[in-house]
Amino acid sequence: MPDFIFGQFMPGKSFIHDLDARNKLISVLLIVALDLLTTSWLWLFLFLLISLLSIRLARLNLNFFFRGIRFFVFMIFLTAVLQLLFSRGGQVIFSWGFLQLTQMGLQTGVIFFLRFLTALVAMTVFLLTTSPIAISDTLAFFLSPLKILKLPVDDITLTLSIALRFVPTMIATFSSILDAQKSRGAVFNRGSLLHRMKMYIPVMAPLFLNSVKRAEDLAAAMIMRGYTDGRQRTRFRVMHWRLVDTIVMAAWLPIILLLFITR
Amino acid sequence: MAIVFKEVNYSYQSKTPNAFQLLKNVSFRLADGSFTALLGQTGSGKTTLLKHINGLLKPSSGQVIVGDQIISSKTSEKDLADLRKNVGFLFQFPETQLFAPTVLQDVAFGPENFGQTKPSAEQIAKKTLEMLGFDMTLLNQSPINLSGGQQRLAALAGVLATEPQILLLDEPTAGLDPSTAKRVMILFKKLQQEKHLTILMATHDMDAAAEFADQILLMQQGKLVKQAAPKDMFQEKELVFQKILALPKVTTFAIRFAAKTGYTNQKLPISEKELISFLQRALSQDPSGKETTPHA
Ligand SMILES: Nc1ncnc2c1ncn2[C@@H]1O[C@H](COP(=O)(O)OP(=O)(O)OP(=O)(O)O)[C@@H](O)[C@H]1O
Ligand SMILES: [Mg+2]
Repeated sequence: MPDFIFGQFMPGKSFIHDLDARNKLISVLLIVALDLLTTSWLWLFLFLLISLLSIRLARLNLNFFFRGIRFFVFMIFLTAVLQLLFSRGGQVIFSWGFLQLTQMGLQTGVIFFLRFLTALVAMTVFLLTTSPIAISDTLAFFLSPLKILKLPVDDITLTLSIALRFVPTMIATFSSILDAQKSRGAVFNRGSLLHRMKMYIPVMAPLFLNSVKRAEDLAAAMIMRGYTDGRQRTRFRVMHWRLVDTIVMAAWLPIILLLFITR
Repeated sequence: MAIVFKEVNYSYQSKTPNAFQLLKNVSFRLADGSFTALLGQTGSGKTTLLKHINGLLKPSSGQVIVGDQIISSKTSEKDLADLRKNVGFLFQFPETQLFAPTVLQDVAFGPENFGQTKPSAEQIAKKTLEMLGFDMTLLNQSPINLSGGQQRLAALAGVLATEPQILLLDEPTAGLDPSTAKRVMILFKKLQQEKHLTILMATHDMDAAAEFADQILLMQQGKLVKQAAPKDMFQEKELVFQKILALPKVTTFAIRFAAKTGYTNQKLPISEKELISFLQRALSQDPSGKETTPHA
């Protein structure tokens, strides 16, 4: 699992780490949304630049960062190439058999790549710099208006935060079961696709069983400690909205305005 | 098969900012057919070391030599398949690896992977379970329905059924009831003596280490502190004092006894038998230090 950082949390101290999680989430959503709204190269590159800058501001090692997301970058690149080859229109630049590279296709492909790369980088920085607890608190915050609709927001967010809490545990269990089956001669990178998928049964089955057992134990422990429902739960960690957060939010305003004016 | 470590270093996530060195310049040699206990505080790197012997981890630098196969940072996954055929690894809490619909199928998983036909794999599986004293009426039960101890035995059978020449054991008796634990330890000893297996066992059970191992490796914070026979290792009061090493019950008792009686200038016992003669000698001596009875 070492080369796979998407969805992990890297505790640390930096400008980005210290921002309020709500601020970070809004900013990420803004980048993604605005990036989808614009087709201007200037804006697309600007947003990519902002998200790349945030890696530095989060004091994440660039090398480490891109090793961790290279799989996704590759997938996006592949999809972009398909877009590039199959969107028709405009001047034909190059053709080979039934494949045709058109001006339109080139533009669509590159824009697609830039948009998704930006979104991926921003999202990864957010996840790397925000603790699972802060993420679930943030979701609780934004979902809380839905309480009016009688939605059990507290239960949902508690469930979610427990789920997030158990992601690292599941990863650890997964790799220890993987090791055990490898030691018994299981080979995971050989043979047909079907065969490979079959080889994962000895890993996934115990992982699933384990998780169910863990869930049962946790439920029992919670009941024993008098847990009834998620309402009126107080929080040990309170989120702090600081001046920097307001400034970051304020900085988005001119960007949004400019983007809509220049459209 | 002999196991040799040559200046092995291992760093976790070596290419990331939170790289952390878990093994530091570890070198040792374990002779073919030996039974070694791997001791050390929790987090000292025992499991990490074991994982190098069947190639689940590869050294960041240095070499691990198992039989005539050399494992270094460059060894490919393909070469490791052969190695794993010869090395059985019983993980800590191995019952988490049980997956098949029946105990028999689960135990046959290993031999099948290593090239046995299904019928012969099941034959080996039955034989192995029988050898472990497993209740054979449970053969076609789902492993989930077994008790914890039965699950452990089934998992152990799953490892032994691959008929390895080297057996790596990670706290094999933790959480077992005392009588099963004893039986399993005696079985390991028998496998060493009769089938000439090379065994390396990470454990916190000093009594078992003293009783069954012919040699001890002591780890502390990723370093190998000392390699010695149990009778010499457990004399190291200085290491005990620094909390790097713990002692068998009888040895602790002898130290306390000696402290009370001032009877200190004798080799510490590590088994009940040795304790008895230790006490006999101590009691036959009057406080002035002269022996009152001539024999021990
Ligand atoms: N996947 C991992 N990620 C980060 N650190 C790890 C990982 N695996 C092990 N470690 C660290 O490596 C060190 C040694 O771990 P190891 O499991 O080898 O110890 P151990 O001697 O087997 O301990 P125990 O007696 O508790 O089983 C520990 O400090 C542990 O925190
Ligand atoms: Mg361990």
